[in-house]
Amino acid sequence: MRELTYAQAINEALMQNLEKDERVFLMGEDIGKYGGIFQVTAGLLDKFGPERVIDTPISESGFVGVAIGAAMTGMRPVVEIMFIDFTTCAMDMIVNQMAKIHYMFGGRGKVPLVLRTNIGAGRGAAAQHSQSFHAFFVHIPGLIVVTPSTPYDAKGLMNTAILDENPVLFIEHKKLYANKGDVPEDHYTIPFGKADIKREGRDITIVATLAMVGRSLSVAEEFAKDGIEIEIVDPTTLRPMDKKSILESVKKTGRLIVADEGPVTCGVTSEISAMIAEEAIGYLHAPILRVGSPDTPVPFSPPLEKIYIPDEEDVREAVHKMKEYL
Amino acid sequence: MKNLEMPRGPNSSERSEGTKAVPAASRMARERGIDLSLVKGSGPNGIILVKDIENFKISQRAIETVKKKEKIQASSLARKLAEKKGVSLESIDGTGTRSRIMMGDVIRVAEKPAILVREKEEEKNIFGQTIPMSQMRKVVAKRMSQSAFTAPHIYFFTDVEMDQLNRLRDEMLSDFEKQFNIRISINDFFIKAVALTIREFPMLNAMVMGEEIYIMPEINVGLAVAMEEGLIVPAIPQADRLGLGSIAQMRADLINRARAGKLKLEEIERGTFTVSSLAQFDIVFFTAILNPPQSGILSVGKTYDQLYLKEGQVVTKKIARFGLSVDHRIVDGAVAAAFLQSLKRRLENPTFAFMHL
Amino acid sequence: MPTQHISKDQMIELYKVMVTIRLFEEKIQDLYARGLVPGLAHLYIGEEAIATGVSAHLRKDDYVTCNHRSHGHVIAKGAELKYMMAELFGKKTGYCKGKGGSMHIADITIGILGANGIAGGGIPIAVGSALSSKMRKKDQVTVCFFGDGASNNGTFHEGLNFASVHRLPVVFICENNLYGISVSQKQHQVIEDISIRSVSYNMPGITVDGNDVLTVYEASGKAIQRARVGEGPTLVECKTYRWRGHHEGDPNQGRRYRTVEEIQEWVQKCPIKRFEEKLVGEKVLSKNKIKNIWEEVGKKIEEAVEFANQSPFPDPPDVYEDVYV
Repeated sequence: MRELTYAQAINEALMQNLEKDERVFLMGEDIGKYGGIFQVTAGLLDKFGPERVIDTPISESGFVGVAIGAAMTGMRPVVEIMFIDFTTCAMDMIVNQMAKIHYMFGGRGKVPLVLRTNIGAGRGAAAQHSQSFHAFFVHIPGLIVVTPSTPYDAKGLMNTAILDENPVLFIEHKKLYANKGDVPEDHYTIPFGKADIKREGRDITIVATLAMVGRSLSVAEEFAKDGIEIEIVDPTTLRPMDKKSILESVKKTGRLIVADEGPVTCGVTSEISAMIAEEAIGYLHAPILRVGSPDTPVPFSPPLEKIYIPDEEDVREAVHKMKEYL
Repeated sequence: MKNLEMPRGPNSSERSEGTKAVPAASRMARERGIDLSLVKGSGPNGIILVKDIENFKISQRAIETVKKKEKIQASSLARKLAEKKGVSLESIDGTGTRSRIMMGDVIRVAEKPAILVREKEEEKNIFGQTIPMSQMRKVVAKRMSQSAFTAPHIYFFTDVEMDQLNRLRDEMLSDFEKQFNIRISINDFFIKAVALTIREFPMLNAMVMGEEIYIMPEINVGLAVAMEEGLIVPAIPQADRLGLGSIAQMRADLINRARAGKLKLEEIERGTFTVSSLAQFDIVFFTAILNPPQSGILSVGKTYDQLYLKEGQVVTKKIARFGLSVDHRIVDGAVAAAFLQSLKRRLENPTFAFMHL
Repeated sequence: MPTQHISKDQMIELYKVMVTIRLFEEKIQDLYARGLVPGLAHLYIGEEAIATGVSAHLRKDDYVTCNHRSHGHVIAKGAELKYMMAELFGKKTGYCKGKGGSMHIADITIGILGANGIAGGGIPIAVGSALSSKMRKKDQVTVCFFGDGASNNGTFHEGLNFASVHRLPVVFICENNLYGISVSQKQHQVIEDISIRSVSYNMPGITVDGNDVLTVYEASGKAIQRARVGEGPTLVECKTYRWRGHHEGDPNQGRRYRTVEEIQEWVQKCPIKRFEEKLVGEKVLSKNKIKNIWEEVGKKIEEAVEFANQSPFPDPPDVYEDVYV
């Protein structure tokens, strides 16, 4: 099978959908001529023209609202917000409009749109361009939150997202765009709410999202040499979340580490920890450990940013702590 | 440490009550009926892990003596020499790596008079030292405090004439030994008498459970055995129904095994009333602390001669002062007094009392 | 007041719609005062001419977004009174199955993309439906109703900007009732005619007397036609006034921040009364017929109330329904 980068995989998904469904169109800042800040939409303007690949003015609230209106009246927009940090400019549209319309209107009205954005620090983009607060959106009923960690997952989940009738927040990761992986050429979908066991193990479970998946995998390989087998569960979608698979894994290993790049306080890791504490506490052989960012804004200076980012070092530390409970 | 504000879970340095076992271990302990306070935790900060429950053997619990169970590190030459010279490895300071005992160390020690050395070592070793509590001592300490601070104790004393009982014992001694292979002890009579008296006073066989009183179904009288690291109280089951012969045999067996550290937990936990005797010491009487969750404990002081006038003559009788401590929440003064009175009567009229079986 | 391009029947229809809105709102006012309607109510009394005049040009498949004060817009677009009433009562038979309430009434089958509780929230959405019609190559038009308060919100500027860049078939109707809740227009903006903001977006802008239904009819008619033929967006400002407070419960019907004289002045300019006088004067309607109209409408409203009263509340499990499609 041929390999694509994460960015290329998403590009291919968008392209194939633009080709076969005339209701699909793209909106976002610099997605057309420039090809998108991370080149995810490269080449699409040339292929499909400015009517279907729209470079918007800098007005997140405005153009996300436009996407909503279009989605409500028969179209399937895929709108991009350049960094998740800018979603705050469109919060009303995301939280009060798109998430609520189907419910508020008693099921008579739907918003089948995809809102693409990205999280993650590590490019020196500093405090306002490097956050990972996707947990905000997991907190809002009515939204679907998707977090692909590999090129294969990215294309499949994007296809599902475009077909879905609900508003989907498609969370990408800046540091994953260049990662390569096998991606089938044809159209395929990955269902929402189905976790992917990226690695099997019997001693410790790590539930990891986005870039934490790869980081956890490499740490798991290290510990395998010591005979400690770590199971890595990638939820792939945070809402709906595959609780069942996570519970099964924890019941099997009895030891849970949750790794997500957002700040630990009130983050995705907190939700998963609470869920396990509520439903599987008798199975725990150890306390639940969370790996995430510290409770600070993202610093600029490279050595500080390195400390900020939860990387292999932090996962390793958590596994070491967990070893004492083996 | 990158995650500076990572929340501290039960593995943090403060160990609070109720977080000393991981959830799966708590569950397992509950299922197996194991008292967590008796389990040694091998996790961080002593937290109890599942494997600690799995490995927990009842016969090995807290009653272990302070005899060092850890293997003493010594070279094989040293060991051989020490055995040959009759020198105990425990009395030798090793000078090898990590205090390993080398042959030279044995030679050095063997040249000194062994006993003197040992005494000096012990002397040197005890005063000024801080000794950690053995697991058993910890348990004893905990239960003593629990008892003292929970049950309001009230004490009653009575002097019992021991002449009749002693005479009966002397008369029976050799025949008893022939039949039961054991020397009958005065404690055996106490145990039986107490058990029979409890039949009349069920509150002395009860325990407080919240706002309810549970009267235990069997009368299992325990006899306190003093050991280096604390008091152990194995109990004779259904003492009211057993003949003196059985009581004596069980008593002997339990005490032997207690001293060897080979009692079963059940043999201790089944006790419903305790008899504690310091008669072999010069203790006139003492106020014993209840053995929780029991509501009564009998203390026996030393028997001594008391003078009195009988028809103008000075005669002696043997008197022992018995003490009864009870849980005043459920045993009132009148009940305790009546119990003691009835017990006294039994002991002073042993022929009649012990004829009942 | 030019009356060409409008027939007698059309004028009678306009009148009926205004009366319907007026009586509906008065009924809500009454029920609310008696504690029979839960939640919030923002009444359109005094502004009827705008919704009526604009919507007269709209087809069933044209779109409308509106704001929190939208009973009038929704009625004018053709919503059924009984389903509206049921929704306001929170009943299962309401337009939104009782899940939306007064501020979120919607019926996409007749193009109502929803009342919106967020000031200015409906503006980008209206631009979106206009974009959608253009993309689908249909001549559907979107009308966007909002107030003077919303004209300061970012969404107003972002929406108008986007609509103008893409020449979209949307008509922005600004109902300037001189107050954003309690803050008067003089306090919240430095301009008097909001329509001049259209210049920033290179689109036509016009200010009209919002209490003259025929003027509104004509101005909006032109704008809607422009949109329909692909000439892009227009901003139409209609000056008007709400007789009652911002919401039912606003003390003294807004007299905390408005003077009695001012209110009285605008009540005198009642759009229904003015039109009625014209109709009678031009012998379009007799006084008798007018009386009949009021009676008939009154009856319909009673029927709607009856329907709402008879309808059941949603069942408890309905809380969990329709979060997702």
